[in-house]
Amino acid sequence: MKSLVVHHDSHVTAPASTIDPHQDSFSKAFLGFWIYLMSDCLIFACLFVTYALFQKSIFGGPSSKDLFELKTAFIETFLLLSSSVSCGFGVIAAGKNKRAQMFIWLFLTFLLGASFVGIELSEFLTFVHEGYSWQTSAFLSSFFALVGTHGAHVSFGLLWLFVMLGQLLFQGVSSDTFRRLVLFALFWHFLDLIWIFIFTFVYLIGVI
Amino acid sequence: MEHKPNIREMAEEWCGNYKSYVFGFAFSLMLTLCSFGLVLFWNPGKERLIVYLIGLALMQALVQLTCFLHVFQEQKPRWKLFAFFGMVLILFIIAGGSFWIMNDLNTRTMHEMIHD
Repeated sequence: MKSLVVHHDSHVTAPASTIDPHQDSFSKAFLGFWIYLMSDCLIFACLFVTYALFQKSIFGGPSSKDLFELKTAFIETFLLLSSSVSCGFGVIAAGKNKRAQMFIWLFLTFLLGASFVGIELSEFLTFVHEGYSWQTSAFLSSFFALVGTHGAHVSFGLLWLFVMLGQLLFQGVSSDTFRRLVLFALFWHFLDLIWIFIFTFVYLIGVI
Repeated sequence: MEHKPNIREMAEEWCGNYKSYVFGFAFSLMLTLCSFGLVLFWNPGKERLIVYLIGLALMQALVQLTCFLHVFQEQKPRWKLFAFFGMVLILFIIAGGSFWIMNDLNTRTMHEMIHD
Protein backbone atom coordinates (compact mmCIF):
# COMPACT_ATOMS: atom_id res chain seq x y z
CA MET A 1 0.00 0.00 0.00
CA LYS A 2 1.35 3.26 -1.06
CA SER A 3 1.61 5.82 1.72
CA LEU A 4 0.85 9.35 0.80
CA VAL A 5 3.75 11.47 1.74
CA VAL A 6 3.28 15.18 1.34
CA HIS A 7 6.51 16.91 0.58
CA HIS A 8 6.82 20.48 1.75
CA ASP A 9 8.97 22.77 -0.29
CA SER A 10 11.49 23.75 2.33
CA HIS A 11 12.05 27.34 1.24
CA VAL A 12 8.31 28.12 1.16
CA THR A 13 7.43 27.44 4.81
CA ALA A 14 7.20 30.43 7.12
CA PRO A 15 9.76 30.67 9.91
CA ALA A 16 8.48 29.31 13.21
CA SER A 17 10.16 32.06 15.24
CA THR A 18 7.48 34.77 14.99
CA ILE A 19 4.39 33.03 16.31
CA ASP A 20 1.75 35.65 16.98
CA PRO A 21 1.19 35.62 20.75
CA HIS A 22 -2.05 37.56 20.37
CA GLN A 23 -4.37 34.68 19.55
CA ASP A 24 -6.25 34.50 22.82
CA SER A 25 -9.59 36.02 23.71
CA PHE A 26 -8.07 38.76 25.88
CA SER A 27 -5.68 40.01 23.21
CA LYS A 28 -8.40 40.08 20.61
CA ALA A 29 -10.77 42.01 22.86
CA PHE A 30 -7.92 44.38 23.75
CA LEU A 31 -7.04 45.04 20.12
CA GLY A 32 -10.67 45.45 19.11
CA PHE A 33 -11.30 47.98 21.85
CA TRP A 34 -8.05 49.74 20.99
CA ILE A 35 -9.18 50.13 17.37
CA TYR A 36 -12.44 51.61 18.65
CA LEU A 37 -10.41 54.11 20.72
CA MET A 38 -8.42 55.04 17.60
CA SER A 39 -11.66 55.79 15.77
CA ASP A 40 -12.79 57.86 18.76
CA CYS A 41 -9.54 59.84 18.44
CA LEU A 42 -10.55 60.71 14.89
CA ILE A 43 -13.96 61.92 16.05
CA PHE A 44 -12.26 64.19 18.56
CA ALA A 45 -9.79 65.32 15.90
CA CYS A 46 -12.69 66.49 13.72
CA LEU A 47 -14.23 68.32 16.67
CA PHE A 48 -10.85 69.93 17.41
CA VAL A 49 -10.42 71.12 13.84
CA THR A 50 -13.94 72.55 13.84
CA TYR A 51 -13.22 74.34 17.10
CA ALA A 52 -9.93 75.72 15.81
CA LEU A 53 -11.55 77.07 12.68
CA PHE A 54 -14.37 78.74 14.60
CA GLN A 55 -12.34 80.04 17.54
CA LYS A 56 -12.56 83.61 16.27
CA SER A 57 -16.18 83.40 15.06
CA ILE A 58 -17.69 85.07 18.10
CA PHE A 59 -20.58 86.87 16.32
CA GLY A 60 -20.49 89.80 18.71
CA GLY A 61 -20.63 87.51 21.73
CA PRO A 62 -17.88 86.63 24.19
CA SER A 63 -14.52 85.33 23.03
CA SER A 64 -12.43 82.60 24.63
CA LYS A 65 -10.45 85.25 26.48
CA ASP A 66 -13.64 86.62 28.04
CA LEU A 67 -15.02 83.29 29.17
CA PHE A 68 -12.34 80.82 30.24
CA GLU A 69 -10.77 80.70 33.66
CA LEU A 70 -7.39 78.99 33.99
CA LYS A 71 -8.00 78.11 37.62
CA THR A 72 -10.96 75.92 36.65
CA ALA A 73 -9.04 74.32 33.80
CA PHE A 74 -6.08 73.48 36.05
CA ILE A 75 -8.29 71.92 38.73
CA GLU A 76 -10.07 69.83 36.08
CA THR A 77 -6.74 68.73 34.62
CA PHE A 78 -5.39 67.71 38.02
CA LEU A 79 -8.57 65.78 38.85
CA LEU A 80 -8.59 63.83 35.60
CA LEU A 81 -4.86 63.09 35.71
CA SER A 82 -5.11 61.84 39.29
CA SER A 83 -8.10 59.67 38.42
CA SER A 84 -6.13 58.17 35.53
CA VAL A 85 -3.30 57.22 37.89
CA SER A 86 -5.62 55.83 40.57
CA CYS A 87 -7.35 53.78 37.86
CA GLY A 88 -3.97 52.32 36.88
CA PHE A 89 -3.23 51.48 40.50
CA GLY A 90 -6.63 49.80 40.75
CA VAL A 91 -5.88 47.56 37.77
CA ILE A 92 -2.50 46.58 39.23
CA ALA A 93 -4.14 45.73 42.56
CA ALA A 94 -6.78 43.66 40.74
CA GLY A 95 -4.05 41.78 38.89
CA LYS A 96 -2.42 40.92 42.20
CA ASN A 97 -5.84 39.96 43.63
CA LYS A 98 -5.61 42.57 46.39
CA ARG A 99 -9.33 43.26 46.59
CA ALA A 100 -9.38 45.92 49.28
CA GLN A 101 -6.70 48.02 47.59
CA MET A 102 -8.43 47.60 44.24
CA PHE A 103 -11.74 48.87 45.60
CA ILE A 104 -10.08 51.85 47.29
CA TRP A 105 -8.26 52.91 44.12
CA LEU A 106 -11.28 52.39 41.86
CA PHE A 107 -13.57 54.26 44.25
CA LEU A 108 -11.06 57.11 44.33
CA THR A 109 -11.08 57.06 40.52
CA PHE A 110 -14.84 57.43 40.58
CA LEU A 111 -14.74 60.32 43.07
CA LEU A 112 -12.11 62.21 41.09
CA GLY A 113 -13.91 61.60 37.79
CA ALA A 114 -17.25 62.65 39.24
CA SER A 115 -15.67 65.84 40.64
CA PHE A 116 -14.31 66.58 37.18
CA VAL A 117 -17.75 66.19 35.60
CA GLY A 118 -19.33 68.28 38.36
CA ILE A 119 -16.91 71.17 37.86
CA GLU A 120 -17.27 71.00 34.09
CA LEU A 121 -21.08 70.98 34.34
CA SER A 122 -21.06 73.98 36.68
CA GLU A 123 -18.81 75.81 34.22
CA PHE A 124 -21.23 75.07 31.38
CA LEU A 125 -24.22 76.12 33.48
CA THR A 126 -22.48 79.38 34.41
CA PHE A 127 -22.00 80.18 30.74
CA VAL A 128 -25.60 79.35 29.91
CA HIS A 129 -26.99 81.39 32.81
CA GLU A 130 -24.92 84.37 31.69
CA GLY A 131 -26.67 84.03 28.34
CA TYR A 132 -23.82 82.45 26.39
CA SER A 133 -25.04 79.07 25.15
CA TRP A 134 -24.19 76.93 22.12
CA GLN A 135 -26.70 79.00 20.16
CA THR A 136 -24.80 82.25 20.68
CA SER A 137 -22.01 81.87 18.13
CA ALA A 138 -20.05 79.37 16.06
CA PHE A 139 -17.21 79.62 18.60
CA LEU A 140 -19.51 78.61 21.45
CA SER A 141 -21.23 75.91 19.38
CA SER A 142 -17.90 74.26 18.62
CA PHE A 143 -16.70 74.72 22.22
CA PHE A 144 -19.74 72.98 23.69
CA ALA A 145 -19.55 70.26 21.02
CA LEU A 146 -15.89 69.48 21.70
CA VAL A 147 -15.71 69.81 25.48
CA GLY A 148 -19.25 68.51 25.90
CA THR A 149 -18.48 65.36 23.89
CA HIS A 150 -15.43 64.74 26.07
CA GLY A 151 -17.52 65.31 29.19
CA ALA A 152 -20.16 62.90 27.88
CA HIS A 153 -17.43 60.29 27.35
CA VAL A 154 -16.26 60.79 30.94
CA SER A 155 -19.83 60.49 32.22
CA PHE A 156 -20.41 57.22 30.39
CA GLY A 157 -17.03 56.08 31.70
CA LEU A 158 -18.26 56.77 35.22
CA LEU A 159 -21.35 54.67 34.52
CA TRP A 160 -19.09 51.85 33.28
CA LEU A 161 -16.91 52.19 36.39
CA PHE A 162 -20.00 52.03 38.59
CA VAL A 163 -21.07 48.80 36.87
CA MET A 164 -17.52 47.42 37.14
CA LEU A 165 -17.44 48.14 40.88
CA GLY A 166 -20.67 46.19 41.20
CA GLN A 167 -19.35 43.28 39.12
CA LEU A 168 -16.09 43.15 41.04
CA LEU A 169 -18.04 43.20 44.30
CA PHE A 170 -20.36 40.35 43.38
CA GLN A 171 -18.22 38.26 41.01
CA GLY A 172 -14.79 39.02 42.41
CA VAL A 173 -11.75 39.30 40.18
CA SER A 174 -12.33 36.61 37.55
CA SER A 175 -10.65 36.49 34.18
CA ASP A 176 -13.78 38.06 32.67
CA THR A 177 -14.08 40.93 35.15
CA PHE A 178 -10.33 41.58 34.98
CA ARG A 179 -10.47 41.78 31.20
CA ARG A 180 -13.36 44.27 31.43
CA LEU A 181 -11.49 46.29 34.04
CA VAL A 182 -8.44 46.52 31.79
CA LEU A 183 -10.60 47.71 28.89
CA PHE A 184 -12.17 50.31 31.17
CA ALA A 185 -8.70 51.47 32.18
CA LEU A 186 -7.79 51.85 28.50
CA PHE A 187 -10.89 54.01 28.00
CA TRP A 188 -10.16 56.12 31.07
CA HIS A 189 -6.49 56.73 30.14
CA PHE A 190 -7.58 57.65 26.62
CA LEU A 191 -9.95 60.31 28.03
CA ASP A 192 -7.10 61.91 29.96
CA LEU A 193 -5.03 61.86 26.77
CA ILE A 194 -7.76 63.78 24.92
CA TRP A 195 -8.06 66.22 27.82
CA ILE A 196 -4.39 67.17 27.42
CA PHE A 197 -5.26 68.60 24.02
CA ILE A 198 -8.45 70.22 25.28
CA PHE A 199 -6.78 72.14 28.07
CA THR A 200 -3.94 73.15 25.75
CA PHE A 201 -5.86 74.17 22.64
CA VAL A 202 -9.12 75.36 24.16
CA TYR A 203 -8.25 76.86 27.52
CA LEU A 204 -4.56 77.83 27.39
CA ILE A 205 -4.41 78.99 23.77
CA GLY A 206 -7.87 80.53 24.18
CA VAL A 207 -6.69 82.77 26.98
CA ILE A 208 -3.49 84.21 25.47
CA MET B 1 -10.18 26.07 20.62
CA GLU B 2 -9.36 29.55 21.68
CA HIS B 3 -7.06 29.99 24.62
CA LYS B 4 -8.66 31.88 27.50
CA PRO B 5 -5.84 33.37 29.53
CA ASN B 6 -5.78 33.52 33.29
CA ILE B 7 -5.42 36.76 35.20
CA ARG B 8 -1.68 36.50 35.63
CA GLU B 9 -1.14 36.22 31.86
CA MET B 10 -3.46 39.14 31.20
CA ALA B 11 -1.75 41.26 33.84
CA GLU B 12 1.61 40.47 32.24
CA GLU B 13 0.40 41.50 28.81
CA TRP B 14 -0.97 44.71 30.22
CA CYS B 15 2.56 45.50 31.54
CA GLY B 16 1.42 47.84 34.27
CA ASN B 17 3.50 48.44 37.33
CA TYR B 18 3.37 51.08 40.06
CA LYS B 19 6.56 52.78 38.90
CA SER B 20 5.32 53.64 35.42
CA TYR B 21 2.15 55.25 36.79
CA VAL B 22 3.97 57.27 39.45
CA PHE B 23 6.55 58.42 36.94
CA GLY B 24 3.84 59.23 34.40
CA PHE B 25 1.90 61.18 37.00
CA ALA B 26 4.92 63.23 38.08
CA PHE B 27 6.06 63.94 34.53
CA SER B 28 2.54 64.83 33.33
CA LEU B 29 1.96 67.13 36.29
CA MET B 30 5.28 68.85 35.67
CA LEU B 31 4.48 69.38 31.99
CA THR B 32 1.02 70.69 32.90
CA LEU B 33 2.52 73.16 35.39
CA CYS B 34 5.00 74.27 32.72
CA SER B 35 2.15 74.91 30.27
CA PHE B 36 0.09 76.90 32.74
CA GLY B 37 3.18 78.70 33.98
CA LEU B 38 4.17 79.71 30.46
CA VAL B 39 0.75 81.23 29.84
CA LEU B 40 0.57 83.02 33.17
CA PHE B 41 4.12 84.30 33.56
CA TRP B 42 5.76 84.54 30.15
CA ASN B 43 5.01 86.77 27.20
CA PRO B 44 7.19 85.92 24.22
CA GLY B 45 4.64 86.73 21.57
CA LYS B 46 1.58 84.75 20.62
CA GLU B 47 3.06 82.55 17.90
CA ARG B 48 6.06 81.38 19.92
CA LEU B 49 3.92 80.69 22.96
CA ILE B 50 1.51 78.57 20.92
CA VAL B 51 4.40 76.54 19.49
CA TYR B 52 5.77 75.85 22.98
CA LEU B 53 2.33 74.91 24.31
CA ILE B 54 1.78 72.46 21.45
CA GLY B 55 5.23 71.00 22.08
CA LEU B 56 4.49 70.52 25.77
CA ALA B 57 1.12 68.95 24.96
CA LEU B 58 2.71 66.47 22.53
CA MET B 59 5.36 65.60 25.12
CA GLN B 60 2.71 64.93 27.73
CA ALA B 61 0.72 62.85 25.24
CA LEU B 62 3.83 60.72 24.61
CA VAL B 63 4.42 60.34 28.34
CA GLN B 64 0.85 59.20 28.90
CA LEU B 65 0.94 56.88 25.88
CA THR B 66 4.06 55.22 27.28
CA CYS B 67 3.42 55.20 31.02
CA PHE B 68 -0.37 54.76 31.15
CA LEU B 69 -1.25 53.04 27.89
CA HIS B 70 2.03 51.11 27.40
CA VAL B 71 1.77 51.51 23.62
CA PHE B 72 5.49 51.06 22.97
CA GLN B 73 5.93 48.06 25.26
CA GLU B 74 3.82 45.70 23.21
CA GLN B 75 5.24 42.34 22.18
CA LYS B 76 5.77 41.66 18.50
CA PRO B 77 3.69 41.74 16.31
CA ARG B 78 2.78 45.20 17.44
CA TRP B 79 -0.80 45.49 16.21
CA LYS B 80 -1.82 48.30 18.58
CA LEU B 81 1.16 50.40 17.53
CA PHE B 82 0.24 49.75 13.91
CA ALA B 83 -3.35 50.86 14.52
CA PHE B 84 -2.09 53.92 16.38
CA PHE B 85 0.16 55.07 13.54
CA GLY B 86 -2.65 54.43 11.07
CA MET B 87 -4.86 56.71 13.13
CA VAL B 88 -2.16 59.40 13.29
CA LEU B 89 -1.77 59.30 9.51
CA ILE B 90 -5.50 59.71 8.95
CA LEU B 91 -5.54 62.45 11.57
CA PHE B 92 -2.84 64.41 9.75
CA ILE B 93 -4.75 64.08 6.50
CA ILE B 94 -8.07 65.20 8.02
CA ALA B 95 -6.76 67.95 10.30
CA GLY B 96 -4.00 69.22 8.04
CA GLY B 97 -6.21 69.03 5.00
CA SER B 98 -9.06 70.89 6.70
CA PHE B 99 -6.74 73.64 7.89
CA TRP B 100 -5.22 74.01 4.45
CA ILE B 101 -8.56 74.13 2.69
CA MET B 102 -10.21 76.53 5.13
CA ASN B 103 -7.23 78.85 5.22
CA ASP B 104 -7.15 78.89 1.46
CA LEU B 105 -10.87 79.69 1.33
CA ASN B 106 -10.35 82.36 3.95
CA THR B 107 -7.81 84.19 1.85
CA ARG B 108 -10.06 84.01 -1.19
CA THR B 109 -13.10 85.68 0.42
CA MET B 110 -12.59 89.38 1.08
CA HIS B 111 -13.54 88.90 4.73
CA GLU B 112 -11.46 91.86 5.93
CA MET B 113 -13.76 94.17 4.02
CA ILE B 114 -16.93 92.90 5.72
CA HIS B 115 -17.84 94.84 8.81
CA ASP B 116 -19.59 93.13 11.72
